[in-house]
Amino acid sequence: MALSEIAGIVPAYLPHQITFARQFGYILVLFVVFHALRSLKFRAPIFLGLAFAAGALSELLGTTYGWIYGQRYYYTASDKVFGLVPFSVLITWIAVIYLAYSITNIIDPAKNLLALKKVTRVGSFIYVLLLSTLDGFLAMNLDMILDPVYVRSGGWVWQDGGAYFGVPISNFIGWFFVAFATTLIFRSYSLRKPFNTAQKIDFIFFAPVIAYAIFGIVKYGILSYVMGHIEYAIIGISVMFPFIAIATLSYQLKRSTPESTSISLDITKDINLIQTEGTR
Amino acid sequence: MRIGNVTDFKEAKIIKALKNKNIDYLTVLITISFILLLLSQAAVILSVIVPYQKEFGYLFKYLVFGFVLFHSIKTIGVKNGLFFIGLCVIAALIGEYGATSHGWFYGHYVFADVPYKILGLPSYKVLGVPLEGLFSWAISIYLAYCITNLIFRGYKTDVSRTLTYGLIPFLAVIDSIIVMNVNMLTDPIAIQERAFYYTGGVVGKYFGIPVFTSVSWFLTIFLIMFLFRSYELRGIKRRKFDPSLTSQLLRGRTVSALDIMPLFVFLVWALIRYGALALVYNHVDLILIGTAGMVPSVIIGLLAYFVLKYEKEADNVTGR
Repeated sequence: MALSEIAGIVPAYLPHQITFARQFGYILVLFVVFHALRSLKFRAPIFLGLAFAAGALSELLGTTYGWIYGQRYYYTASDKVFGLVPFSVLITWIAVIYLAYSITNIIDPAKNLLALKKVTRVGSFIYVLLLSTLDGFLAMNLDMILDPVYVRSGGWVWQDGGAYFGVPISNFIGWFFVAFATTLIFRSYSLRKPFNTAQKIDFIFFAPVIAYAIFGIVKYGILSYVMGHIEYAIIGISVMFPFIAIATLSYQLKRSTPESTSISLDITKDINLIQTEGTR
Repeated sequence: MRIGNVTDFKEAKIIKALKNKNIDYLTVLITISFILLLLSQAAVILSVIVPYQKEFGYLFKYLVFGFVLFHSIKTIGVKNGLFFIGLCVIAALIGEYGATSHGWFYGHYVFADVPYKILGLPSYKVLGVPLEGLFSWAISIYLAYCITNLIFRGYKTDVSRTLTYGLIPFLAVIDSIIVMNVNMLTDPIAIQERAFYYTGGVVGKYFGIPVFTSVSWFLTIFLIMFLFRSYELRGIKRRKFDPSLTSQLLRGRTVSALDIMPLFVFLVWALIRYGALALVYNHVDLILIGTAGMVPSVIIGLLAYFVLKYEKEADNVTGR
């Protein structure tokens, strides 16, 4: 994925270099699928399926009726699923929602969410709500640079335009809610039915942050610069960089704490401990 | 009878506390300034219904500055608090003066003469820079510093091991990006209000502001925070991470309203106030930029607060 991005940035010397660079989106999705299999194990298909369904449904409803994103829009590409949305756009939703979900998990200061649940149910629900809100912002903030770049380059057209560089504000609310709702369903399900996925705090754990930075800031930052709209890049950096900086801090701290070399979502032991100690 | 006894007991406790002068005056001042600044902002947003409501609204900046001053003295100590605010004000004065008089680093701009609104008093400028503007820098940077510290504490690490000079740049970067996001909303509004304007017909690409201005301010704040945090850590290391030292970083799992207040002040100070102004100027796009930039840091701060609060309660349950 990183090589594909580099291939697109540096002058083309190698054969098929540009073709390789154009596959960035597909390579990103491939990375996300492998990463999800590692972190979510048997629940990866559930998450990825949910993300794909939410993204695809929102796109189909948006292009047909103007729902979710506030007004109708259409893609200018010729190859489209049902004549409405390019396949590459549909599968990119998997990458967007998964990257948001996993970066929030990196930032998440709680080692074990359900240890909180034992204290109060309301607290655990508010916590999940806050995590999903963060997921929503991660997706929305990515679109703050992505949408103006694509609208400017003619990738898609908003029927009535909008206040934010030709993009309607409702579009961003839509992006927020698609990611928020998807992860809220999955996080609530995980809260009710916890599963054992011990995660090693290594480079792979941190990799989604780099993927998000390459996808959001480097790729579209360069495109906006090339287009002569550096303001898109400065907005993109300012709204995405807090996540990247805080996730990096979190990674550093989690890695340097000996007991956090792996984060386990298996809370059975903790619940038993709390129950045993609580009854004494 | 029982109720009467309880009331008597409470009254006796209050009287005893008063007699012993056992009142934390600083906490009282922080709470009063917090409530007043919220009321002052409400006074601005609501239409005038009571006498002097407008004047009370104009006091908002000063009330926030008061809050910041008391909060910093309470949570990082008198010496550090005054040093922090002094450093911010001096650095901002150098930066603004360099820009307004020589066009250094941030482009050449001039502050307009805005008539002072409180009881017709004149506007004060220091070397051509409004005093209010200097206060604003100290407020934004201090609130960002509090948010970053809360986020850091949420990870509940052993500070004697993790709090190193190597970590300072990470913390300073987070401080700087939080302040940069404040500027992303406030600067275009200030341009709209003609509070300052670029000379020589310069029209920047970001709502009239040159992009390099944001980058330069980011670097300036990084430098301020890098210096202050290094100085602060030096003091902490000298005292060998003594938990009795007045420092936000050494508060550990102890959370109180003091930790969460800066999050709300930040939202009111930067987002609600300027968001309302953006709406007045019909710039809903700026509200989007402000929300996208500022709310996530506040949410992460809230997560940290929750973890500190609820995990502590979990510890009580398990008796750990």
